[in-house]
Amino acid sequence: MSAISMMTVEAVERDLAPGTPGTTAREVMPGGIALSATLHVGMLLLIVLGLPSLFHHPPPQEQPIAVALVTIAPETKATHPNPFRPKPEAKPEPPIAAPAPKPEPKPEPPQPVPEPPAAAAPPPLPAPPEPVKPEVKTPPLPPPPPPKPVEAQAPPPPPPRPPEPKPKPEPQRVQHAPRPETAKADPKAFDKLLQNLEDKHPQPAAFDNLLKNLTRQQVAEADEAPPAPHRMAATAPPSSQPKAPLGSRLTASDIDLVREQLRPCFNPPFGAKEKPDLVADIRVVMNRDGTVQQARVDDQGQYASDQIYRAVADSGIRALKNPRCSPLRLPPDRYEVWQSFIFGFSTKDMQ
Amino acid sequence: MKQDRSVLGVTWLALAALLLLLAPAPASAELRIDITRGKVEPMPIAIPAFAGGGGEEGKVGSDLAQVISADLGSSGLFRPLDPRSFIQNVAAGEGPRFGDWRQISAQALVTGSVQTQGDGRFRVEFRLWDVVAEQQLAGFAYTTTRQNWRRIAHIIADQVYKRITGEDGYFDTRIVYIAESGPAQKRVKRLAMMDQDGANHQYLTDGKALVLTPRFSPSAQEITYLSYASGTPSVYLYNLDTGQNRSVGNVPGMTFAPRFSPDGSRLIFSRSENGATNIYVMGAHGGGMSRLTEGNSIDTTPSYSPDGAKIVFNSDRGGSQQLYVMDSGGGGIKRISFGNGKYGTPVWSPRGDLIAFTKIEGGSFYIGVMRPDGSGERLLTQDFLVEGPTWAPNGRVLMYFSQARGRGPRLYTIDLTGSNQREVTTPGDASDPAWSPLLR
Repeated sequence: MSAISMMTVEAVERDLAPGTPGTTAREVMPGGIALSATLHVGMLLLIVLGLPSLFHHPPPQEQPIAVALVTIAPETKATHPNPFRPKPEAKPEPPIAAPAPKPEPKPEPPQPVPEPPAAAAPPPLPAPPEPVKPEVKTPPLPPPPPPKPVEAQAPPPPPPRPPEPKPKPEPQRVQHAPRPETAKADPKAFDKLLQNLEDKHPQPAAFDNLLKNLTRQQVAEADEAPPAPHRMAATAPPSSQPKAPLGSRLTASDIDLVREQLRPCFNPPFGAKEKPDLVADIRVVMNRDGTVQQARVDDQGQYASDQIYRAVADSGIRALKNPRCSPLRLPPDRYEVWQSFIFGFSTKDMQ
Repeated sequence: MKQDRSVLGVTWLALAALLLLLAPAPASAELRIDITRGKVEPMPIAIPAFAGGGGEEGKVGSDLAQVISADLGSSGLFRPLDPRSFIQNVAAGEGPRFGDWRQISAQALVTGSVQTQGDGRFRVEFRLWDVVAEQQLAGFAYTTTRQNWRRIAHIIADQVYKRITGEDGYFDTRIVYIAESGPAQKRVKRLAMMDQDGANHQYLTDGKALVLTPRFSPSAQEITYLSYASGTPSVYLYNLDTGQNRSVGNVPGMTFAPRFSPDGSRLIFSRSENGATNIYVMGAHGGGMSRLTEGNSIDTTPSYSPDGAKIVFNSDRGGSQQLYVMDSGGGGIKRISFGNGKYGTPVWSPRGDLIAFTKIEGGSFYIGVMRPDGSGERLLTQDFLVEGPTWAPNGRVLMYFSQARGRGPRLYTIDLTGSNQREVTTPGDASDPAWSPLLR
């Protein structure tokens, strides 16, 4: 065994012999250079072109995300007219009660009657009859259809708009009053429409029944007494539109949109800029059409005691009710989310 | 196998944690939208003529509306609408139809009436309405003599200003100033007084003696000023109720730049003697004089902080004319102005938050404000010569006098934004104004 191993060793040594210095320069070098050059070129190619994809993965299927367009522009979502649309409009009826609060401020007038400055005047000034007058006069506030007297006076005003468009600029009241009518009219119109459709295009019995059921259901709903705001949300009719993908929340862009919309109408008082930390919270209840049904200052204590706070809060409420910035552009399909919430008005970011 | 199971377990845990993180916030969080920026613009306000029975009542009703409009418009915070654009005639006695007022873009509405009482006096009623919110914001009634109707208008303007801005108004106030006339070599300077809008102008002195730097007392019933009536400049007091005019204290040397303490009990002024000018204080009707500063420098134009605890003045003790603050008893002197140029005529704001001053830099004059610690310096206006700021009682508006090249000095107002600058109409040249507190 040892002899064999010795021979092997020798053979090996003999094979290695050509590697001695004398032969290397002449025979081995050319091959090495070529090899080295090949490897370098290969490396260079790898660096430039990148590694070959050994495992070819099929490109991932691009799944379309049909989200963004839907949330921002509700109009574009309307795949077809929603026959139940009129119902939400009918609900704003409750605000008709809004004129009721008006009488409140008027009774208030019983002027605190601070006496004149320098002039010596009777202190108490109970003067019950006098303050009463304005009260009596003011009640006509719920000016039903004032356009007539207005037109009579119209000649002098050289203002921008003619008296005719009047009804429009009064979004709140005008809307409330006429709505009930449209609400009732719609079901009938829709009923007739269905009947016409039936006449013109006799439908299969099953579909016919379905349509009748639909109309009955709608009429029943329309006949209901004007529901309270909360109820409105609870009984919100099933939308024929595709559900919003983001479902139960407002997106950042929704909120930004509202901010941008309100900014031009929020005219805070001069001194508020020196109190950037002052935030007046206004709790709002919204109508489904984006108009403000009710706005109430959250902190009544501070409202009564802090003049600047009161001025900021009043500015906020004016902004919310200003026709220039109303109705708010909120996604109608998520009414449950913004049916009531809080606006915090401050001058924090004003220069 | 065991390893596989543990890897699987860890994977599930990670997934569960991820799902928890991605879970929506609890539905109980109430939606909130913060509006932290708005648009500052004058509020459109409609002020129709107050209803009156006809004759004098009707005229006063119309005049009241005009004065209120002018007051509110001059503040720069309101934009009174042109009465010709009004759709509803509230003078007819009916309540406001808010839709009509919204249509002309009014956000607020002032209505009122004038009635003559049995004793011949006027009873003026007014109401301020929020046209957008459709509610009454304020309502008051005043009774006064017929001649006093302008004050009622100013008081109503103050009420409107206060209710809408949350700040006290400044319309029911007076201005005392130096009325100037005649050639430069023989200039006549008289003490004059008027309402803040320039009405009810009257001269208080005859011009025989040179007068300077008038200042109101906190009650607005007395005026202290500098007069050369005795030959040397001395501090005088003018009582508006009695018309009495007298020198204060018989203090030797020149006394000048007088001003009342916030409680009206003391007078602070400069006194020049033996080449040094120092600040002194004494009782408002003389006596109890004491010196507050020392040294050979010129210390002058002192003004109290509204709480009476500090005094701001200007001094050249540091080499150039700068502003300093000290305790009201003297001592604790601290320099507060460090900008380029010279500073003078400092006046502490009635709110206490700012000090107004005149600054001279690079050949130009400026009116500016800074905080009492010297920070936040802001220059509001600049001209060939602007000088002598005085605060409106609400600390929002400054009056000063300005002289352009080739013409005499005139009075101007400017608000703290520096954007609402207006000339106050006077019969002639005018300088050195002082704004009264709100009249009582």
